[in-house]
Amino acid sequence: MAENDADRMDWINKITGAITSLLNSQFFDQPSHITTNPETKKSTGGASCECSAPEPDWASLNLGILLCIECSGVHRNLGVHISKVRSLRLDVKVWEPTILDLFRNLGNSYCNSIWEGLLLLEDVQTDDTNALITSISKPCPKDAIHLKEKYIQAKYVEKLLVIKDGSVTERVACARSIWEAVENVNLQDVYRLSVISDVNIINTTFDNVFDVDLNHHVDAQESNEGQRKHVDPASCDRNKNSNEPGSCLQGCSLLHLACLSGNLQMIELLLQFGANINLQDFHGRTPLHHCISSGNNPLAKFLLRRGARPSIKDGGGLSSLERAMEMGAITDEELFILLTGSE
Amino acid sequence: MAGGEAGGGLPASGVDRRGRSPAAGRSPTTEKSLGGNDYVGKDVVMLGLDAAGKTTILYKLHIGEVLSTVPTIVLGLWVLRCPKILIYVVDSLDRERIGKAKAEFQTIISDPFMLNSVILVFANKQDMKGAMTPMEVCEGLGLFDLKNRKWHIQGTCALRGDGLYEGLDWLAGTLKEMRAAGYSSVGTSSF
Repeated sequence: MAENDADRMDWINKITGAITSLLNSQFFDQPSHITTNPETKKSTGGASCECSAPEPDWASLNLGILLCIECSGVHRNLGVHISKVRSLRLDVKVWEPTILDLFRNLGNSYCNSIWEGLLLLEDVQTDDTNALITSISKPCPKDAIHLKEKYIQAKYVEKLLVIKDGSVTERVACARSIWEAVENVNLQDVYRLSVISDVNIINTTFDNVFDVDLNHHVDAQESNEGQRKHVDPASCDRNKNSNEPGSCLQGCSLLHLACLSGNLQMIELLLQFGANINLQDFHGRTPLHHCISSGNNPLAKFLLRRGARPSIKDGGGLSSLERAMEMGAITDEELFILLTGSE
Repeated sequence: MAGGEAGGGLPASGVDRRGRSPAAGRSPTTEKSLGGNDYVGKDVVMLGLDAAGKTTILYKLHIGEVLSTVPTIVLGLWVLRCPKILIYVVDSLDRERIGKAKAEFQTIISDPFMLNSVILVFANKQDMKGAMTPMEVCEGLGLFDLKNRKWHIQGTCALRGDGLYEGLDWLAGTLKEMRAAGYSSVGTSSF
C-alpha cells in the first residue's frame, strides 16, 4: 500500500534488491559441515534418522541424530524435554567442535540401534509374541507425515522399540553402570544406559547409587531436615590428604565425575541429557568448584559459558571466584571476566 | 470456524490510516492477517524463536485447526515500518533458551522501528508438564523492567487454541483505549 507509483516502485526495487543479494550471498549454497564431513556422513549414513530421506538438514541436539525437515517438524512437537531440534544450516552458532565430535561418536546408526533395538532384533529372529512391535515399521521418505508422526511418537515418547525389561534390578544396574561408563569415558554406553533406563539417571548422586563406603555418615535426622547443610571441604579428611576434588566423591553427580576426567564430549552429552550444571556435592561444591580447584581453566570457562553460576558458595562459604583467588592471582583474563560477570 | 468473529470483532483501530506500511517482506512468520478481514494487520508482527509455535498459532487463528508443521523458513526482510503490535511467542517449556529468547526480545523492542509498538507475549505450550508459568516467562524476558511500554502476557496452548483470543481481546481493548486517549495513530512515528 504505497502512497503513489513512485513510492511503490521504490519499495519493489528495494525488496527485489534485498532478495537478490541474499540469494547471491551463498547463504543457501553453503554446505553444512556435518553432512559434508565424510566421517560424519559415514557414521550417520547421510540419511534422515527416521525415514532415511537423503541429505538431512536438521538435527536433534540431545538425541544426537540427523533428520529431514519433515521429521524435524514432528520432533519439534514432542517438546524440548524429548528432542531439541536445530538446523544444520541456519543455527550456525550451535555447531561447536565439541558437539560435532559428539555427533561423530554417536551417529544415526548407533542411536537407532538403541531406539530401534527391537526392530533390528526382529530381523534375526521372528518372535510371534511381539505382535505389537511387528505392527510398527520404519516409515519411508514418501510416507505421509502422520505416519512418521505415529512412528516417532512410539519410538521416543513411548519407547516401544527400546530393548529393556524395566525391572527394578535393571534400574539399579543402569544407575551403577552409567557411573562406570562416565568414568571410562564411554559415550555410547552413557547414551544407551540413559535411554534404556525408565527413570532419569543423569542427576543421580554417588551416594544414591553406591550405598557402601561413605566417607561421611549423615545423621538420618539431620538429612530429614529438608535444608541440607553442606560440610566445609576443609574439614574432610580425604580432602586434607589430597588436593584433588575427586578424593571425596560423596554427593557428587555424574557431571562432577565427568569434570574430573575432563572429557568435553562426555560433559556435553550429560548436559544435553539434562544434567544439572549447578548441583552441589556433600561439601557444597559445584562442578565449577571442582574444575577451579583442579586448575582446569578451559573446562571452568566451558561450564561458565553453559550456565554454571560462579556465586554459589561451597560448604566453606566460598564461591568459585573466591576459591580461584585462594589459589593465587587469576592470570586467565577471560576466566576472570566470566567468574566476576553478573548472572 | 474462522477466527475473526470469535475474536470479539477486533476493530481496525491499529491500522495506520495513511497506509504507509508495505505489504511485502515479512520476517519469519510475520503475518498479514490475524483471522478476519476487518482486521487488516499489516501492522502486526509476530516473532519468536524457532519452534515457539508461531505457525501453529496462525493455523489455529486462521483455519481453526492445527496441521502438522515443519520448520518455517522465510528470509527475514525487515521492511515493515513501525508495526503497531508486536506479538512475541515463547516456548514455555524451553528453559534452556529463555535467555536467548530474552536477548532477541530486548533487541527487537529496542529497535527504533518498534519503540511505539504494543507488546503481547504469548507464553505458549502451557499444556506441557514442567512448562514455565506466564509469570516465570515474564521474569525470563525482563518484562517487569520495561518502562513506558504497554505490554501483556498471556499463557496459551496454541494446539487447543487456549488463550489466543484472550490475548487478542486485550490487544483490541488496549488499542481502543489508546485511541480514545488521543493517540490518533497508535505507534506511528514520523519516518
